Amino acid sequence: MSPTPMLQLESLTTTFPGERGPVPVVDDLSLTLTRGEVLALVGESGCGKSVTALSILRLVPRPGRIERGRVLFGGRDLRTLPVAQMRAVRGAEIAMIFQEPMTSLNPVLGVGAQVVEAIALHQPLPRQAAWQHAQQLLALTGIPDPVGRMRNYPHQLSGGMKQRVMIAMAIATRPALLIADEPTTALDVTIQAQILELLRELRQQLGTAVLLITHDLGVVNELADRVAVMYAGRMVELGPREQVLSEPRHPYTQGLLRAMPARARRGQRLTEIPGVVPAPQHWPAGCRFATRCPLAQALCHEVVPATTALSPTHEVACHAVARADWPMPRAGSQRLSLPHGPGAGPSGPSGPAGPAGPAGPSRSPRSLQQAERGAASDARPAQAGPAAAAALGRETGAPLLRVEELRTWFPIRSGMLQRSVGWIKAVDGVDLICPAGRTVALVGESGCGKTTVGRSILGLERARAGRVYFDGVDLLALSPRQLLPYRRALQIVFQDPMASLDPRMRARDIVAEGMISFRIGANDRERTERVAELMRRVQLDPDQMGRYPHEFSGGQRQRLCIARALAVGPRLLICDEATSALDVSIQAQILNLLRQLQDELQLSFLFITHDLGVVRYLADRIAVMYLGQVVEEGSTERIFEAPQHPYTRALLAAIPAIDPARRQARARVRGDVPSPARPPPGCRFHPRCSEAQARCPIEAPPLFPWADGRSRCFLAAQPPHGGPAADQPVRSTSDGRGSAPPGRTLVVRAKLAVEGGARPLDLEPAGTLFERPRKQRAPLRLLAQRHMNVAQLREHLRASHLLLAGGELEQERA
Amino acid sequence: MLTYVVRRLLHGCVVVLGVLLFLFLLFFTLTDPDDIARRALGEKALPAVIAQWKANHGYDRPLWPWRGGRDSMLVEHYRRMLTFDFGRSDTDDAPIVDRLRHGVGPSLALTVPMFVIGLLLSIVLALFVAFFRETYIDRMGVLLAVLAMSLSVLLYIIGAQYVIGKLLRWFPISGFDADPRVAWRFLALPVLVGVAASLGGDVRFYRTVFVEETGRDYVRTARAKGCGEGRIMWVHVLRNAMIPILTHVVLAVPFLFTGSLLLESFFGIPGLGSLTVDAINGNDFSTLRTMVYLGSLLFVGGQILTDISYALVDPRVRLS
Repeated sequence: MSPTPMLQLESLTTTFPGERGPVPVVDDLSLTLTRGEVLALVGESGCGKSVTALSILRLVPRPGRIERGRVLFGGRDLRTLPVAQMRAVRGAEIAMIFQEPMTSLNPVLGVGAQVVEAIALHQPLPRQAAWQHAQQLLALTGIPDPVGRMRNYPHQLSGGMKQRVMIAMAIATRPALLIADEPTTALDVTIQAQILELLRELRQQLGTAVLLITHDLGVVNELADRVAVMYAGRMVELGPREQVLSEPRHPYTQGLLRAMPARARRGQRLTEIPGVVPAPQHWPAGCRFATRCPLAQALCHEVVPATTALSPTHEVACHAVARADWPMPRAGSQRLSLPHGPGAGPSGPSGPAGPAGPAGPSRSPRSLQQAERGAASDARPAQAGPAAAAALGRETGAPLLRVEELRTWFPIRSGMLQRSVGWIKAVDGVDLICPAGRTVALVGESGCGKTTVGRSILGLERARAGRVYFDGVDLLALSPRQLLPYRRALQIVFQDPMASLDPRMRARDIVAEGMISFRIGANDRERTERVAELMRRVQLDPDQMGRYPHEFSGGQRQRLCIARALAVGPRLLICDEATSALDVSIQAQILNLLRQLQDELQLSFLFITHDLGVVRYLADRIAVMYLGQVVEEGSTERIFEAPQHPYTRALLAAIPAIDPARRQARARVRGDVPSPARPPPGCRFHPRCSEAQARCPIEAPPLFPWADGRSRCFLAAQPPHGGPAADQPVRSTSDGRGSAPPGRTLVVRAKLAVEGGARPLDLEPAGTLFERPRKQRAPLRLLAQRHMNVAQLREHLRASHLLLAGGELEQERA
Repeated sequence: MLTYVVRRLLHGCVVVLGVLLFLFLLFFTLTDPDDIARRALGEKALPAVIAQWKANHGYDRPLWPWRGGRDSMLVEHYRRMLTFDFGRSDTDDAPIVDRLRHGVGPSLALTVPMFVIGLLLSIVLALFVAFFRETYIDRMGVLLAVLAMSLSVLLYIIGAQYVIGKLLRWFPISGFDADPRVAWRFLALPVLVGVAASLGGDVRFYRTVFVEETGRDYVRTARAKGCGEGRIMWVHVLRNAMIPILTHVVLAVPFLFTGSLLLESFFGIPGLGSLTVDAINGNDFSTLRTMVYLGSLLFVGGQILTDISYALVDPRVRLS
């Protein structure tokens, strides 16, 4: 890293008009980026990260404008550069990729044309040459079959592919600086790992500096050299990655790190940052974090803290850090815990006014307790630790919910009469057990069918087959009338609290609606009392029950959703990505609330999520889903410590590390999830599996019992030679491969979707490819599995989408 | 694609058959054929003449097939309409097909230029206004557009006839000539009025579409690539905006054939619009049902065309 500053922001201030004059969304921000480094800009939503990035390129949407400051880049001030020159900088010297690859590409232009445009705008190349250059760029970003993909439209590509196209456009003219605005936020974790790896590789190959904007500290750790933390338009901490992540000094940075469930120990309350990031027009004078800060003193509310340099590279804007006489234990390490508890209750301007401490069950009026069947919490000592509760649950853990062989298929209709010509097997044989009073997590990437499982259990989606036993009664066999009492016992909380609340209903009516349906409460007055009680329980101010959903913040809305679900006294709460749309500090608040409710009300949770950090913190058991099936299931410890299924391992490997000593996110699976309309034969994971054996594409593995759970992989089955029983630790990868039968070499002529490269390539399950084709339809030397003849090889390559359309496979010689 | 079109055509057939049934109920069960005859022949016509007239037009037969079998009026109604054998006018016994043939030329001569000029002008104006979005040009444009669309068409017609036709004497106030070298002089004024009357609403609608598109993420991507504003408008925004615009426009294409009721009658153009108005005024049920039937056919055709044009301009839409 050379010390030459390449980009220098000096007192950058970007404003948006407000009711009382312009509001600085980015306020007096100074920042330096040196050649080739990766600087991460971190903060929760609404902190001005994206506006900072857009200000650099002068792309701030109207009516926002850059009020003051300089953006020095290559000796010029971009802020005052003539428009034509600015256009020459955009894309050529500074390129940008965005969060939403789905909407950031022009839907009606071909992918190739869009990459070509990025080239042609800055390099006068003949059309043919630009087209070829674009192909090379797509190949460089790891898109299989770049030649064919050039003519595709964006909607024909998966999310990960689209982000690769965005990256290809961005690096088209080898920019010196790449601004990546949440480049992986919209992607699944395994795809995120692939993109992070790509960005890492490109940075090494091209030496591009990256301004990485993200809210995910894991992604920061994986990619960044330095970290700048933003809060409410100002930079609060800046320093090298290791220091900021391991020894954060600003209370906001500390709070962000502590709120991450992945860092917390199970059973421990997450340390929340109380309240929410206020809207820009309500940003306080003085230190903007003061309203949420556990260390704040009178001074903080009045005086803007100056930047203190802790070392030449590490600076913090905080009075507590600057003043040695600050009344607090000096937080040298983030492990040194700061005082928290009742004193750290929410005090933000729009935060709930109630105390953060647990709402004691003894305060509940009788009506509430009646509705909360099985409210054993009264009998338990209030101080009973979660560990004790867990032990209790383990012993009495009779399954409250048992799902067997659940199948929910959606018809694919086609032709003149719209007959169903096939099925999208969204859920295809799912087994699940949910013990009473426990949390089971259903984990998987988008499209795996986890949401459909939740909806099918509730009867919101009609299951085609299977049984859903609740308390021993098969819900799927009940008539709608018979089902009614069970609807009360099973409730759901959705991902998007704004979309799932009726915008024209007041909070009170939203919460009370279920009570009316189930005739809870004798009259309106009683129900209103109960609504107030529920709102207190989810730590909302009952005085706000007359408000409409839009008057609440995102976290408060999710509390309202929880109150609505609790209103009818459920025993099982299905949380479908209930915290995924929330910022990490708000997520911590909701997770704490859910845990507390579970303890108090003996609720069972089915937690549907893609976020393994949340799962590790919250769940007792985990079921991992892939393409409509549960591929592995077991206790949280077992899944995290000894995952058996290669997919589970890939998922775990893909999580960005938050330990600054390690960078671990590795893409262990190739490509995208196949369509559930045509799941691969045999084991559904085999085309992406790095450990597939000869039998995997032919035989579908059942769920083998393994340790305290089950795994749908032959690797988890009893070893063939009577080796140690199933309780042995995880077998290494090579063991699995060693048992594969030796192959024979087939020389074939085919057109394959494989990436270029030097190493031999596994073409699971067909065999190993020694030389990669330089030309299309060139003969390939393939070490095929012994049992396969050319016809089978062709079939398998086609099933795994490796054989390209129109590329027939013919044998040259054996 | 083909199966889709065939399926939509079958749906369309059902719609058209339904329209025909509705027409039949409206014209023959709610109205007495004697009334039709009396309107055609005059109030004082002798009963024998009326009976003769009814017999000539086939209005004396039983209404329903379960009374008259294949000879019933309902079967006859469907047979005639479906074979495009429209028969003769109720008022003057002229073959309706001839009238259609004579009327379609003048109608198209009016509607096609109106459509093409109006479309191009409103898109260009809307692009211009959208390019200067959130400036005074934009605000003035929207204001003018709203003003223009708030005025009644009648005001445009009468105003143009008075100012341009009577005071300035640039073009004749009304009339038509089959000779194209003369006809353009007659058509200029109605075309101008037609374009002006629809311009305000169209510009406002298209501008909304354009402005909405300019706020999209892909436009931001294009800017970040270094695209100029002109290129963004013409290459990126226009193509995406064409999706709602084209479908809005294509639906109107079939109705170019039916002409314009108001303009034709005010400017004395002997097109299909005037034909319809005359039929309404003269209680000419045969002509009227023909026009309604053709209108429903064109509507169904327009719907299918719209869907096809969707698939052509939007790669995301596949017809299946």
